[in-house]
Amino acid sequence: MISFELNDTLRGIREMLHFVAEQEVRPLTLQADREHGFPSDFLRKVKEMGISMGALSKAPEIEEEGGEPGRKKKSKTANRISAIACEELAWGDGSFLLTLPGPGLGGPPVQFMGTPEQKERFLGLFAKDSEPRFGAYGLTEPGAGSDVAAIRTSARKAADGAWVLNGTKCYITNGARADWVVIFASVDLTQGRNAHRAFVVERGTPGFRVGKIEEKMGLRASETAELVLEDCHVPAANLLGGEAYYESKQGFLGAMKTFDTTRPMIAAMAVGIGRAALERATDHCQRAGVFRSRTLLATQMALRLAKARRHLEVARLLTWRACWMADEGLGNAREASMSKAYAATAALEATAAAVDSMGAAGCAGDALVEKWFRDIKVFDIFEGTGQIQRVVIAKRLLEGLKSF
Amino acid sequence: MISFSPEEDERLLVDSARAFAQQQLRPRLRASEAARALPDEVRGAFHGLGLVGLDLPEALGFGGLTLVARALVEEELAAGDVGASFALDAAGLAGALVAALGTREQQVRLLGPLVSDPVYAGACALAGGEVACVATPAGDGFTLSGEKRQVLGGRRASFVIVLAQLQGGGKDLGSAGLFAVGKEGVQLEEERHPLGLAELPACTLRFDGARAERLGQGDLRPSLRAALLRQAAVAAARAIGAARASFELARRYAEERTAFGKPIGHFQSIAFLLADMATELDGARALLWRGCSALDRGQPDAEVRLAEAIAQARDAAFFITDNGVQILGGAGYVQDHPLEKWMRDVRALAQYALPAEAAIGIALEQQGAELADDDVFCFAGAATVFT
Repeated sequence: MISFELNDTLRGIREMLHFVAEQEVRPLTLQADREHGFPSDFLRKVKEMGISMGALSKAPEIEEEGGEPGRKKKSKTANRISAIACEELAWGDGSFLLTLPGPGLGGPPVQFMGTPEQKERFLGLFAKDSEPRFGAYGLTEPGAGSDVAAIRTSARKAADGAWVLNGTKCYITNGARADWVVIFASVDLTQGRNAHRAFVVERGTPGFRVGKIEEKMGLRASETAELVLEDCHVPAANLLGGEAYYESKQGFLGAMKTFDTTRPMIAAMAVGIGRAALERATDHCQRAGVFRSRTLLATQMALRLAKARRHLEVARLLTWRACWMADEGLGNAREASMSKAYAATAALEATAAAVDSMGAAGCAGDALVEKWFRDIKVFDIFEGTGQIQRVVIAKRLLEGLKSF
Repeated sequence: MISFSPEEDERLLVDSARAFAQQQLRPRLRASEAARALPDEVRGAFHGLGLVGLDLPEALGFGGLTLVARALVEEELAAGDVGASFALDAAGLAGALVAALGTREQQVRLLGPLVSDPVYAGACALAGGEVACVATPAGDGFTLSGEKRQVLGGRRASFVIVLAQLQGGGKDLGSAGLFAVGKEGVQLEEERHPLGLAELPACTLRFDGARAERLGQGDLRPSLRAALLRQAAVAAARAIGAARASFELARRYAEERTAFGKPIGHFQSIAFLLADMATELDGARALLWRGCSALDRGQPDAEVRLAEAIAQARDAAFFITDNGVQILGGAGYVQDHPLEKWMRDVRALAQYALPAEAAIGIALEQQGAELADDDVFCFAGAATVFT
């Protein structure tokens, strides 16, 4: 049945996370932005509270009417729950979610491609103790952003069976603090995607070091690092999925498959940030009497905010649809890209309208809207730029379109 | 729980509406436009499907279905031909107003024939003309004089619901009354060259002492607002249907038409445009479903949700039908393809039936704006009714 109602579990999760976002995260958000990170005490506390993306994705199945008569159908809800969670937590602070201890973007490739032993070894780590631990995802390089097939990081097999990696990865979220990073490298630079392999490179591996930490426009509390691999020796057991996995040309697909679940999460985060900005702007305009004024300029601003709110709602629904499809086991690459492309621009529209509606007050360093405006821009860039999303969508609309 | 999956019975309705639209409406599209009406046999065939008055009350012999179901069906009909989807709606806003405000006896008498007679239809006259419409008590009813404009489907209507001021009463909307009028003695002038929706042309009606009966009592604004919003949601579904048809045709054309040695869809300028059209289409539809679902469930935010959906459907339909023509280039501009018609139809649809400006007003109210009735009703021409 077409429905936009949250069930009780979901409503409970949303309320709980909203409380955390409002009471715990918001008070720290400006400090974290200026100091380029949340205090580690705070992250430890968050971990003790059991808040992590991993915990959210282990959501219980719900029972729904349907299927055979007299029997209830079990449905997965993990993706829908993650979307609700991402929106609430990003409402508190956009960087916070990226800073949450856990495998981060490195989680999905280990899940999709890893052997049981690897899943146990790399994902089991996060349940072990109370220290905040991190995973990361290393695909982008200085010379390979959107064109991920162009990566130049090389992997060759040494005599002892270990792999030797050489190259530089950049813009890696949590790259410096990660316990391990999924590094994509090529075993044959002439063979494109088919030669790609994914390795789990652990911190402290000889030849693996952190380069510069980026200074960014926004999302400053989130760490963005350069990673350098110089004759880095990675044990054979850290090749994700083992050698057999790559015989079926799935290496690149593994990297891409990750995006079908992560893109809607990015979209949900963008919606959360946009919503925060609109709430703040609406509140400001109400107090300033903008909505009671019938002057042309006031009306124009009121219309702009109303339009941004509407577009944000569209973004939320496109996101929910992509998540619902993932939960139902339906292929959702196109819908995931639609949600991400739309949400990024809708949220930028919302934060820009929020700054403009508050005028000079909106530019002040303690007016959160200026931070949200800086934070949101990257949502149309990371996890695939808006243009790359359109490539993904178009390939699934047009028959015979393989590349441009 | 969040789900985008229609029920089984809704799917069946959609299938039958789609088959009818593609087999009966699409092939006749240009002929219907030229005739400025659908042939009686098409209206008869549609009647046979039982889709007339889908969301009108079951107690009167109609479907009694949800607005979500109605939206699903209307999108399919409009994807065949959006002009036809209007012409097939024999009940329309008139039906919704009678169902909301009429006595049981009025409902049975005015709406009953819709169930049995495929050519029986209602029309609704809100917008004013040169001379204000005034209702004067006469016997146990009223007589009506004055002029009404922009009455969609006035010619084929069996009865007309007219917004009029009461003799000696106030001239504001709150004091106005709604009246049901037969066609006897009513002068009619049909728009000969409408921009779009030619299958159901607008008319100017002139009343000179026509016998009328009153529909409902007291301040009509709440009922009028509710009925207008509901009917606008239906129009939004049709706008989405027209947009879908335009998108689908442009997409196929971009796969087949080659230029510079490859299909034009393989150039990013066209492919990205199609990607944006698909996204806007899906987004507008989702927002409409959300609004309809909120209304079906009686949720307090239903009005603002629907208002947002109406504004979004308009924007999306304009964007998509315009670019549908653009992708076909010269072939889109000539009448060999229906794209130019759908672009015109959607523009006309927005003026007659999709009160996006008013819907935006409702969204502004949500934000804390204080609107006059004029702001909400201006779209239906109701504010100018007494000019």
